[in-house]
Amino acid sequence: MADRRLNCLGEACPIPLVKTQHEMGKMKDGDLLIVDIDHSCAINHIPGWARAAGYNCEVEETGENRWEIHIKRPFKKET
Amino acid sequence: MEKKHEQYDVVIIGGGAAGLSAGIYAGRAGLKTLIIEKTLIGGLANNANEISNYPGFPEEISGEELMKLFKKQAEKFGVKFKLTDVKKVDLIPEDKTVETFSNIYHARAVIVASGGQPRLTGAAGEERFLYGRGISFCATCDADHYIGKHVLIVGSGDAAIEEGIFLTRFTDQVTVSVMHSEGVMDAGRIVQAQALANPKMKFRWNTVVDSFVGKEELTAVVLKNIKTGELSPVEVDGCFLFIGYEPDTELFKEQLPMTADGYLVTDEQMQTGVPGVFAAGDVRQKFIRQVSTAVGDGAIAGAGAEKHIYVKDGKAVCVE
Ligand SMILES: Cc1cc2nc3c(=O)[nH]c(=O)nc-3n(C[C@H](O)[C@H](O)[C@H](O)COP(=O)(O)OP(=O)(O)OC[C@H]3O[C@@H](n4cnc5c(N)ncnc54)[C@H](O)[C@@H]3O)c2cc1C
Repeated sequence: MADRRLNCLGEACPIPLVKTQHEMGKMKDGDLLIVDIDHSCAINHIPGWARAAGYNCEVEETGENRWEIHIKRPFKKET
Repeated sequence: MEKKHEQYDVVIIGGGAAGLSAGIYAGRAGLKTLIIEKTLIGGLANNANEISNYPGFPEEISGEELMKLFKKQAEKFGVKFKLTDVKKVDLIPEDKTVETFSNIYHARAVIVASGGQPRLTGAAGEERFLYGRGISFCATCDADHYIGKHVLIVGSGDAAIEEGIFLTRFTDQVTVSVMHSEGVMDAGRIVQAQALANPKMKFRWNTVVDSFVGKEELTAVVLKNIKTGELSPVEVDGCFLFIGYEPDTELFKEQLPMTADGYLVTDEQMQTGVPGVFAAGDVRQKFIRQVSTAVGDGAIAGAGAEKHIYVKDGKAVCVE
């Protein structure tokens, strides 16, 4: 299990999503990716994509217009 | 992984206008209140670029600004927020549970304010272009990607036509795919007239989407004429779908009464029929789905939750 961090501060959609997809492609079962974002559009796109892809996804609001998106690759795909 | 258990008086599912309004009432009544939201606090109204019919804002306000104010007011009354999706609920027992990926929340009362999701066309290729790859549901959010470009709008209701007119401020051309015969739209008359008079708006009557085409990003939408069956590709830089909404009620099947199309049925007090479970906002079967009506529902549901619970020896108990 490993945690990775992806900094997408200052980046507008769809860049954070494209980078997240790329990063998740390199992850193993049980790994956690934390994405830092400050564009609200990514809050709509990234969790939507991640959940549809079968990952678990939660968001922490870390400040005014700043979020951490936590995406976990499950050991077995949950539904 | 062990899930963490937490106790609340009221758990509200959905942080749109209805959930926030319910939160303000429950929080102000001194109840320990949690709002769980799976995307952005503010819900669907975040997509509205101008709200001119919500009383108190005669100068118009963007949906996002208005929702920030709602949130601030809820926070003032001590409402807590958690940004994650609810995966499972058990609403029938007195000790109700609402489960997320890492937590199990226990509550005396649950308010369902989960609104709805934009409807998809179901056409070939659609999945590939969702989430910022060319198919969008929010003109305010995405308009600036399309400066000087060509976009297609699917739908002819108020949202479709109003958002189309808004997009002409940025784009070179807006083509609207309408499934009805020439000149027939579902939008109100005033907006229709504005759209028809707008030189940047073109209409493709009698059409529905056949497929979405492109490599990484969307480059064309193939429209099908429903009268002749003829297929015609329209080259576009982006496409906006405004073909209605579906209520987000999958989680509540077999626990709460709903209509055939999935809207939750309540009485005038927003009660679902299951003691301590209320529904508010767009998710309900009702006459008009607006911010103002969502706020009204939320107020009633929040007050209803307060009536359902009373505090005894510093502990919240349910009224029998
Ligand atoms: C383009 C557009 C323009 C509009 N313009 C206006 C206008 O000018 N005036 C007006 O009054 N109304 C307008 N509306 C309508 C208005 O936005 C809605 O009526 C209002 O947002 C309904 O609020 P709600 O809280 O019931 O639902 P929503 O705003 O849909 O909120 C529901 C929330 O629940 C969340 N949710 C759902 N399921 C879960 C789950 N399992 N776990 C966690 N969270 C969940 C969703 O993510 C969502 O944020 C407009 C709508 C659109 C799309």
